[in-house]
Amino acid sequence: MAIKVGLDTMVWIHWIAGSDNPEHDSIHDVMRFLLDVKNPAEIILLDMVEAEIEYKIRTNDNLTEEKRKQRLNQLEQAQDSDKVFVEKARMNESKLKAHVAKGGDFQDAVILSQISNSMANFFITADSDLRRQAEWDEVKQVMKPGSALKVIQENI
Amino acid sequence: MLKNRERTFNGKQFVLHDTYDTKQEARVAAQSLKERGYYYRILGGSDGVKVWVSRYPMFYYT
Repeated sequence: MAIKVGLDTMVWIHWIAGSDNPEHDSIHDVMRFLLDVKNPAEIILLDMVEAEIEYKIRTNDNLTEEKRKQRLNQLEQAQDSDKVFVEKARMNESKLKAHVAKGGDFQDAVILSQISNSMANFFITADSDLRRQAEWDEVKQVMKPGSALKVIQENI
Repeated sequence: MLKNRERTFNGKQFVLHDTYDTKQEARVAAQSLKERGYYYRILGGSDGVKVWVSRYPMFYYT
């Protein structure tokens, strides 16, 4: 059975942008591993994350119209492949309320409340605040891109 | 051995998906790979008809 891995918005954004920043090397390594046809892995794309990625691409003023279209097309093509599964997981309302009450970022609270009901076994995010909140809430196994590959390889 | 199961077409890495007795069977398999979002190549030889599949889905190369 394929291992299911959820990815946060910025992981997608940096990968789609083809970032050559050395800090993003681990993101490319993880994506190469997850997308390899030989590896039994599947990327879970939460619909909230998908909407946020689309929003960030559409509102990025640094992109030319051509680049914007290309990235949106790539996102659409990804959803047609068997490596990416868009999941419309129900939000966990009690978790959403708990995070809001704690004063955390609202968008993070939405993502975390959806992860808790997601079929993903792991969630990768470069956002340390999100990881800290996930730890506080014991939401799935949330990892940073740098350590994700090793953990996924051990669990596959 | 591994080298025989990997090759490059047009700068893209491919891995051997499977070998079939007939081109018809190979085409059916290739169509399924296409529907799953991968590039494919069908190559015939004395040892059967080989279907090669791109290492990564199409959107990876966009």
